[in-house]
Amino acid sequence: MSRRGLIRLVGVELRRHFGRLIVGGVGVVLGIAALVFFLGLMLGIRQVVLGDVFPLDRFEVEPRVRNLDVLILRFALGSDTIDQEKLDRLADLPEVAAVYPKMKVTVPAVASGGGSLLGTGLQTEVVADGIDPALVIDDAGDAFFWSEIGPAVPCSSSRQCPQNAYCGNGIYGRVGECRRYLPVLLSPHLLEIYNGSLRRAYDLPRLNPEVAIGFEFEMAFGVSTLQRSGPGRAVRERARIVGFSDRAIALGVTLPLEFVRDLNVEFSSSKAAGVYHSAIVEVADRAALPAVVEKVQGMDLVVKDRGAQRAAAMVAVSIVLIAIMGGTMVAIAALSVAHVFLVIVLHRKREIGVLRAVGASKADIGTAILAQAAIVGCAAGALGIAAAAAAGRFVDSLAAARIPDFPYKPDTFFLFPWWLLIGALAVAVLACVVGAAVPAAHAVRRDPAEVLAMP
Amino acid sequence: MIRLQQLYKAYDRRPRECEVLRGIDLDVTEGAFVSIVGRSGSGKTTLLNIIGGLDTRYRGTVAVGGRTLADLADDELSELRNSTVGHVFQAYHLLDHLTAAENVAVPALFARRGRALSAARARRRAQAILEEVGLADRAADRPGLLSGGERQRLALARALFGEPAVLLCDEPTGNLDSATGSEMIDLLNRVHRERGVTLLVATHDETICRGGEFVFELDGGVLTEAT
Repeated sequence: MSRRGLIRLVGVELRRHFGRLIVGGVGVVLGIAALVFFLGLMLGIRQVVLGDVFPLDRFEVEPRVRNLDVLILRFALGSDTIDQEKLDRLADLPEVAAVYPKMKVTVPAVASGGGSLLGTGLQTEVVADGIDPALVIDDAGDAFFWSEIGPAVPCSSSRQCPQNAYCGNGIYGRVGECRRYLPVLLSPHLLEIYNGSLRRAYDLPRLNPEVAIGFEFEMAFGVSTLQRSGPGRAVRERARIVGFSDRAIALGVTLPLEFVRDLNVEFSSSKAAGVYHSAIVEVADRAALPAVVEKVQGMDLVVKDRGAQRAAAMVAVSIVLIAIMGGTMVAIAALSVAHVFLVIVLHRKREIGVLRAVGASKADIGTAILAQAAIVGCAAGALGIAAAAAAGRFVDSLAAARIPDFPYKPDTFFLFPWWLLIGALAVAVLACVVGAAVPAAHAVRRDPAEVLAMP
Repeated sequence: MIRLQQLYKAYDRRPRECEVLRGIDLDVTEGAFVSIVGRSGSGKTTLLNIIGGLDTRYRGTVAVGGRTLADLADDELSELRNSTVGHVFQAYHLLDHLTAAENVAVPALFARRGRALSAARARRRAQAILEEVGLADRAADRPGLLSGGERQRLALARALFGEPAVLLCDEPTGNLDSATGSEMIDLLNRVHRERGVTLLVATHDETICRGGEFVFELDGGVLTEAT
């Protein structure tokens, strides 16, 4: 049979059995829609979990500390810090692309201010962390890099100072000299907690992260509202929020590593300059993550949060389960297609005998039936994909309108990569073709004479 | 044109086999008009089905146009049915969902490379054949609207579409009244005469037998020339 003949025959048969084929195709549409919807959902969740919540190409390590508990007290056995030598060993691992050390501020710190933004001034004890600005360059750009202004710039008001600097008043910076704002990075989680709980408790306005960037407040290091006496001296800085980052400490403020290092040295000794409390290790290839984790553990370090690996495993298992469920639905749909084609073939057996009598070969009949099945599969697959995408949009819009903001809440819960769509289309076509294969074989099994002789 | 040698055919009618053709030998020359007569159930239809490549389960040798059917692959056998042999069945076997013209042109769907026609050419050829069999004005009608005689003429038109060298007619007047049957016989004679096809007709109809150059009788599975 020529291609033209096949197209004509298939066209006639599709029009003729349109109703029946729709009935058979509905199952495939639903199966493919469910498969694409749930796989798209899992892929979307995986992207959020592994891309934002637990970025799998990075993990944080901290010293392995063995504890000794005596009544209410817990004593650490061994060091609870990481020195420069260990950081260098980490950086030398071939699979490691970069190591970003983190240093805690080891003196009390108090933040105060906020009257211009919140309508009332606040004062609170804060926990502060120092991280390498290179780690958050995507979130804060150059604004998070800390450096002194250099030669003193005289001033009588902040307008005379360079950008990101203010005119010192003796408490914050020297009198009549420009002083750089201390750049501060906050976690979006902190903003969520503020907007979700704190603002309600203290009757404060809800904050827009866009507006919060640039917000200024005062920080005092070596000062505490909890202790009667601090170290005896204080470092006071005017701070400015320069951005929000998932790399920032969840409950506290994150400062440039250089500033924290200088602060710790000032309040302790020069040895404090090389004492880190944790480090973020970035691997060159995600696939190398397990090997790096193993090596890190051999260096008497522990991975701070194994949630990433657990989340990755959980998502992977979920995807497999959903693929199996979706596959089963499509397989059941294929049975419905098989049933429809079998009914059509049985209904048409005399007609198929006639077609064979006028020149149709077994291959012609089989090809025509399978081509119809493939077209039904293609159409059903496309409809199923469209239905899944529409359902995804609907769920996203519902989520945007009805689900309160939460940390890492994505704009979309779905991810429909091209390979999923092509794969789903292929599965739909395959299901229909496989479903129609038995009826097609049945249709050409007998000699035309035998079929034509049937009542 | 047609050669049968030691042709045997049996049906599995459990508990025993029923042999309907027992060692048939036959030579039909090109352009001949052969009538095969015999009682109902004598195996006439079976014989035509085997010659036409519709039935492939037999013993012996069947050759059509110099090609031994048993040696042909399904695709080649289908091509033979499409272009070398035309069938006219007693029960017409028309496709009810197609118009008369579409029924005639159905073989065009399965034409092999070199014989394939465009839809327009297939329509034109179908129309010409419908005119030849006197159904030009019924081209747009479906078979359900046609009389018995018209349906049989339509079946003949479809058989002629591939311009076959051999035309096999199984009881072409079996479902027709005598007047309509006569018209059908006249039509067959005309087709045989004008197209020069080799015509094999299985029939009860003595009128047809009279038109045939050769008349054979099939009885007890054996084919003998009728006197």
